Amino acid sequence: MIGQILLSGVTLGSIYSLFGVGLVILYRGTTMLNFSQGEFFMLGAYLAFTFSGVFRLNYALGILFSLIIICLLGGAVFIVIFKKLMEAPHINQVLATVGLVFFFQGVARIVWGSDIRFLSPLLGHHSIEFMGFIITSQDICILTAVSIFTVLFAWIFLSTKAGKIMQAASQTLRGAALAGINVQNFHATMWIVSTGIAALAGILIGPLILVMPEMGGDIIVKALAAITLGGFGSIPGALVGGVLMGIIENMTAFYISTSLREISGFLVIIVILLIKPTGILGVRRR
Amino acid sequence: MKRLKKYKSLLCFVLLLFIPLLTTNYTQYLINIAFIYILVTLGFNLVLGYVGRFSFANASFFGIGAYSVGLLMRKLGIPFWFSLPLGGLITGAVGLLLGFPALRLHRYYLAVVTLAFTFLMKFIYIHGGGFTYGPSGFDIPVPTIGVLRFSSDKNVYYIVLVVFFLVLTLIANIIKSNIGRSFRSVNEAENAAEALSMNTRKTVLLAFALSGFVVGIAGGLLSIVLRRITPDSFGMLEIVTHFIMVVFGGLGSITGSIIGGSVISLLPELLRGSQEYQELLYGLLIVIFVLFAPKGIYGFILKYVPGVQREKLYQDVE
Repeated sequence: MIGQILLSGVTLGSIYSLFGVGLVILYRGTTMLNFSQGEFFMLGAYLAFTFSGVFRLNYALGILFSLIIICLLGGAVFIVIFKKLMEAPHINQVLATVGLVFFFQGVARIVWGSDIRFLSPLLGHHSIEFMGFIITSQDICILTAVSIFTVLFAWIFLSTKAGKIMQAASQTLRGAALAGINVQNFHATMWIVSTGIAALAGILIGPLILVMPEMGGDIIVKALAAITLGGFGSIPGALVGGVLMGIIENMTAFYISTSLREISGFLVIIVILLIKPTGILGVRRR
Repeated sequence: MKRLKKYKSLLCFVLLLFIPLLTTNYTQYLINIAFIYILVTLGFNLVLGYVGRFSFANASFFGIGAYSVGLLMRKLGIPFWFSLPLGGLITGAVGLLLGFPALRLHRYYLAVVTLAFTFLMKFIYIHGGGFTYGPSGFDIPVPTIGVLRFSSDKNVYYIVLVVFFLVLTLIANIIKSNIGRSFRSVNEAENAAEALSMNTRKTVLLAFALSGFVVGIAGGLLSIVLRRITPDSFGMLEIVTHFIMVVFGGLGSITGSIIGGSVISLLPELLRGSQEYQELLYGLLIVIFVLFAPKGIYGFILKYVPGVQREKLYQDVE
């Protein structure tokens, strides 16, 4: 039994990791904490639902279109709003992201209504039994996708030129600019990448959870807990913290009480920040 | 001319006494709400605007104030004129407690932990069973002073008005005093303040405690104005609304808080026609506002309206 809980915890947690990495990438690259990231997550899931369910498009194609649209949306949001706020005080930037939360939730409610939608699993409703655990095809999808993403991202970050730019910008933005890096383009790229990651997370987990306009709010809180747990601002921290968060959440729900599931995130945050604010892997320069 | 200025607030108070003669019950209710939210904004401004700490705990202060006053009245039968300040003190104590993490934690960490705290409080209200009456909330007994029953919106208005002016005077005097100056200095030049041996720790703690007190009192007023409290009123929407009120009005400005608190609290009323689009419009307004009037309405007025002088922070040198 505990194995099953661990397994579903890891699956859930890897989505938190994925989403958390998206948050951290944007934060490290632009010093902005994007509270509306959850909305891109939600919109990604809804778009996938629309393409496959309503337009009856091939699932893979639908996913591709959703990702592209969300990435474009992320870039558009940057150009229209955050490019102008690059020099603004942090509180204004945060407030703008919060405004977007309301805006996108409102849009989703108008377009798709407030009812819960159901996204069908990518590879169908199959499951296999392995050593006493039940693993569904979606679980495998999620775990594979997140693993591939992690490896891919690590490679990009560490070995390619784009990755070096990211490293430079996250260490010192001014220095990077002095070295000739186009900061605005870089920020735009970060927005596009992080929103795309959020959408991917939404599409992957859509079949497992309820697709509704409030999805965004839920995941943002869990992801904040996850990255705080792992070490705020650290990418490996987001990965570790996400998986741990998923496990903790499932354990809490099963062993203590299901109603505590919602606040397991908050409790984790409070405990960590009181004991070791830098998180598990954290060794932040701030 | 100076003598007239001193009596400006007294004059306002007297004029405002006549409002219930001009209003319907519903309009009166809206006015009560507006006054409450001005206090909320003032309280939040202490922490966010003056001392400059990123705290999402304001909505929790609001809830703790509302629940403590409501529960004191309902469960222990304590009359409101005692419950209200008591509730304020309880919330102030909570504020003080939250001040400690605020000293240690960096900006985003504090934001995250105060956010978590606020949601935790809401969870407690919902799952508090017999103690907090659960998700459907509970009714507040009618406030009384001796034989006077304040059962209508117009009657309650007078309680709100008096409390409002008492608290406003308190805050205004504190802001103008040395304490207010130390609030500002902690925000703008913390190291310099420490070098001058100003006790920055005490200042931050005091700001949080005071903020808790003020917003707690506002919460207590909310319970007698609404005559019923539910946990729904103290979640994410409330957190964000408070934020918008402070930023809209202008950080660190009393006039700004008055504008921000009153306008934003009445905004849902103004947007009432388009129920479906309300959320969307709200978000759009926030973004437009951040892009084009970042220093708040007060800042906007300062910049574009000729002749308006910056709020005097310090006492006039005699």
